[in-house]
Amino acid sequence: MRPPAVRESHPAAYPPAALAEGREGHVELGVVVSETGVVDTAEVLVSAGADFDAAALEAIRAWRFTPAEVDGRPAMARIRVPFDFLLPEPEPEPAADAQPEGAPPGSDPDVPVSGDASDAGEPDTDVTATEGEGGPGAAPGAGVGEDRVSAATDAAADELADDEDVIDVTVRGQRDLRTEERSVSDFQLRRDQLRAAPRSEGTEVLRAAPGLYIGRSEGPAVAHNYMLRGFDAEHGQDIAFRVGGLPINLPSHIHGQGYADLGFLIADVVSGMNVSAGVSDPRQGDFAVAGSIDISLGVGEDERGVRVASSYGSFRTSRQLLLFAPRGLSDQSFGALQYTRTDGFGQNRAGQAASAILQHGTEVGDFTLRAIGVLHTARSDLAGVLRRDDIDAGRVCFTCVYDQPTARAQNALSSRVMVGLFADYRGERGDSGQLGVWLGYDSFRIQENFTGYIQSSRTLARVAGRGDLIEQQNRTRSVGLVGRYRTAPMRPTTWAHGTLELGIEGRMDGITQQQSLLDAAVRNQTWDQRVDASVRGVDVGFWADLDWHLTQYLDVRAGVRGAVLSYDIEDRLGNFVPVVRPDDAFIMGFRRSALGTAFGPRVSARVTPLPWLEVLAAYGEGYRSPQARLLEDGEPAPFSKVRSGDLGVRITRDDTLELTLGAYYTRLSDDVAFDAAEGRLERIGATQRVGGVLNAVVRPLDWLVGSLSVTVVGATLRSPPPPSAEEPFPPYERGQRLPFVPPVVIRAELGASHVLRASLGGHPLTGRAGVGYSYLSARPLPFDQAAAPVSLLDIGLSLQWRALDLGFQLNNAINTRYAAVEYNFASDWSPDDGFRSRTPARHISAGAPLSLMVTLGVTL
Amino acid sequence: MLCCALGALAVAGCAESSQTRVQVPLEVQGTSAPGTPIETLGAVPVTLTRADLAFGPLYLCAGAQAGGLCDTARLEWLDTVVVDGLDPTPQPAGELYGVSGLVQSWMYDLGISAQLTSTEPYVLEAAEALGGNSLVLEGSAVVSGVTLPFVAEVRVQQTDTTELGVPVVRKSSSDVFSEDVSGREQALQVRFDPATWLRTVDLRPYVEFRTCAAIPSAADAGVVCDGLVEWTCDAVDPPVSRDCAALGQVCVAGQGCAERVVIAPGSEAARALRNALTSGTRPTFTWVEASE
Repeated sequence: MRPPAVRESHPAAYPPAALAEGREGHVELGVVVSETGVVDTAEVLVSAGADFDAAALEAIRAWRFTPAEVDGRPAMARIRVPFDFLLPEPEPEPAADAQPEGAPPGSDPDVPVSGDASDAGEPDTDVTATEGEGGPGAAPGAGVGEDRVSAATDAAADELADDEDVIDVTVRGQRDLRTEERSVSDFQLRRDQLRAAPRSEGTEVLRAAPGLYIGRSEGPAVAHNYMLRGFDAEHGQDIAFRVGGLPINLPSHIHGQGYADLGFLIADVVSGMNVSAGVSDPRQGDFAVAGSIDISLGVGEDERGVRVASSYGSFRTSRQLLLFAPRGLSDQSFGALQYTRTDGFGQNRAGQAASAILQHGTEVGDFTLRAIGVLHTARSDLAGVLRRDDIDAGRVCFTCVYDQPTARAQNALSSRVMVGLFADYRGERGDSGQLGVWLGYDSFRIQENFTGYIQSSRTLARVAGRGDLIEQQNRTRSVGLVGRYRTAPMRPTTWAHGTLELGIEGRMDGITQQQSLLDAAVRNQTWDQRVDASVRGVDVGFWADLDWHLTQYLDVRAGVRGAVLSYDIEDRLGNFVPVVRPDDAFIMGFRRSALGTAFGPRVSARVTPLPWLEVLAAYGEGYRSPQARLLEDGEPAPFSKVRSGDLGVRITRDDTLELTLGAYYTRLSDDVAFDAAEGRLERIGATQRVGGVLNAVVRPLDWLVGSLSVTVVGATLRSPPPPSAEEPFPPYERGQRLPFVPPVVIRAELGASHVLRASLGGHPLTGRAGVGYSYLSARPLPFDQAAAPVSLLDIGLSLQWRALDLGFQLNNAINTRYAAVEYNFASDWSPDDGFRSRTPARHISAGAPLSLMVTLGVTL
Repeated sequence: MLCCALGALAVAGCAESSQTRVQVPLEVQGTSAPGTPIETLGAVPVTLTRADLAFGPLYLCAGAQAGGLCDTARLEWLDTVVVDGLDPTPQPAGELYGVSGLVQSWMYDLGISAQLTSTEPYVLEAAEALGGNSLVLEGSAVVSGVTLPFVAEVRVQQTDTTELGVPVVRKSSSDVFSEDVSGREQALQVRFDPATWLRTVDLRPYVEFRTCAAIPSAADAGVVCDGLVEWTCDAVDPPVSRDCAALGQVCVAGQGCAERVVIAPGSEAARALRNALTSGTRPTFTWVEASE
């Protein structure tokens, strides 16, 4: 007989009240592990009080086991799992008057416990298997002592023998944590949520983020389009993305401020995600306007090994994956390589991409050292946009491209390399810190034509109509660092305790960028130059963060975030005025510089009147750096200011339900929106959002997880630029609904993982199913148009047996014909019909239709 | 605060753009009734029997200046129509489509458009109907007592040396044109006055009163007109005369007897007509409001 072995463990959360009060506890659970490896029943054998018992029961229900075996067949088995809840390690002898009266000797109850580990996204509670081969600290598959297990293939739990195996668990409150969930719009997503719905590519793990919608309109070599709680973040301008500690957004990128291409992500190595909508955390820096998303990378113990997977599907799409995650190393250590190619779902959409992510983490004394490297390159042809009236008239099909050289020449190429070194410190006194440095290089080139044939050369006299094929090039070299230190807990009174964190974060970017017009019919001859500039930008951020607990009912966090932004701009086409000035009157160019400081408070409060109810309020002021080329010499405030407030409630019922309901208000001093004529973002003035968010996560059964996110927002334009001689007909008017922003965004996901057959050839057969549904309501467009609502459904099914897994994935299962993006602007794609329409027309970029992917994987 | 926020959301959610899709009927009309004399340069009276103008496409722009600063128009009418300049009755031409809001300028072509992608102009339907011309005038002028029937055919188009891709006629800076288009307008009426086209045309050179005796040298020998009499002058042979009137014709200076004067492209009169159409007095744009 082989005893059950822990396949997947989840830490127990130290009850906050007990921690605050300095209570320790010992709970013993009697656990019946079913033939399928899930916890069949769990009962408290030794109680330490309701809160400790509940914490232990909640944790054990999420555990997964390799079932016991009797004669080579899975069998039900009973084991005993003691949980020891211990207060943090003793600090050096504190001053006598600082020791809380009645506190256990050596204990320090002044420890926050909720939330993920701040630095590495680790579980929020330090769980240690103190003994037992099958404890959570042991490798999966390690069995508990055979001589201490009783088993029965069809017996009830009470019929099991009493000499069950013992897995001791120590739950120790951590010293170095801070509160991550500061507002009602902050969420920490666990792995089961990230994997609930099918993901056709790594970036789609973002779909699990409440309120976030992602779409892809420009192929695999260009960043996704992101929308988060009323912000059309385009390619990332309003969301600060961080992956494995590496900042992803690129400042002053020519294709979009804050450009954030997450195409390098490999879904198999995403281990967690923190979503902070709004601005309430002092750590949030540049681009955290709608919020920030931190993605942590790692491969869990239950998935480690060498994995090879090959996928093939519609439109001759294929994906090859190699994952190398040796057992015995930490979750943070792995290497992953992915290659994808596709013919695309229509004309001119073929593309290829390759990504490599390497990460290694190791503990050295009080430090956890982590090195990460990311390599990515992708190229794809682009179909661009089509006029809806041309589609309706049958002049071009929905997924086609205009049959003209300037349209067929649309494509994009991107490459990126990033490396980072991070050292996380956890002191014995409960203090903690991090020091990290990173380097990055990004190269981007795109050829796109939005407007057809309406451009004239500004550089060459009497040259026009060669096709508005915009070429954008951008290269960014970046170096950055981050450092922070959080003090050991301070306890000035018996009812208040907390910590202070100080941090700095900085980056320097060297950016070169060009924008030209190309004539695709003549080997991409350049017929106009629009941008030729170099930018050197420095962003030095600093913050202070108090995280204090005032009684067990009130938690307060208060901090400030500041930043100094400076830009040195060399605009080589500056002062170019065709015709007006003689060539020899001056040397072309406009060199200038700007520097300014951004500063804002970040405060939040949490009231916990009942153990299952939290009331959260948060307010913060943040900033977004500018497109540096648009700055004037000496501009003192080179940033956009955002003010954001949240209020709401969160209801938590064990591990089965988490429900949040909140409202928010966000005001941005200077927003940007897509300008088709230039193919990039341009200023549109101040904007505001008023919205509500509902998010629910349910785990009604051990093998089932579901989530629902609903965001309702009213986004309006407060003060658009007035009409000017150059722009007499601005598309935006004061008070109008913000174009491209859907008032309602819904995302629902459901995932199930269950043993379908306890024994198939002596091994269990596990099935997984996932469903993801996205809904975008009608989006307002400029000039009184609205894009149609979008409903998308993805379905995934997979089977796992021994080392093999086989998956089927249907994307856009209901085959919705939809526009991935939709615009409204003037264009002329029929240059030979003798006249040119100058009124704004609807343009779309087709979204992907129904597609099927089949994946076969082997994990050794 | 939650309630307040949701309330505000409701308000914000109701905020709509003031821009709405509109379509406005377009009517065109002439001015002069047939038979009404028009005074041209030199007080030469002209009576028109035909004044057909190819009109369109038409763009209404938000800015005070059209042309290159009107890449995005607020309303447009992408058709063409032949306007009878002698019929003062408004004729429906079609609908202007676009977005509501202020319009302050306009621009249009005269049946012939020039696109950025081609150096050759496109002759649209209305101009096609006029034989590839923008304007066809027929009538008669009385010059020094001689009644001179004439026909003028004028092509008006952007060329390589002017401004490709932009309509050829634009509102002048002195014209007043401003309307906050709401879509409730009954129509936009464009009234053309052929008198303004002819005002600067000088038809006097087509009539002359010369004989061969007035020819200074043999090298200048040729055909001259003495009113309605054609004289063929030769350095060797005696002059030969012909009474054009007896033939039911007129004598056109430099040409001799002819059915009528043909104002040829490149002639001074044709240039004057072209200039009058593109930069002379512009047609009148009138918004006809719908009755409440």
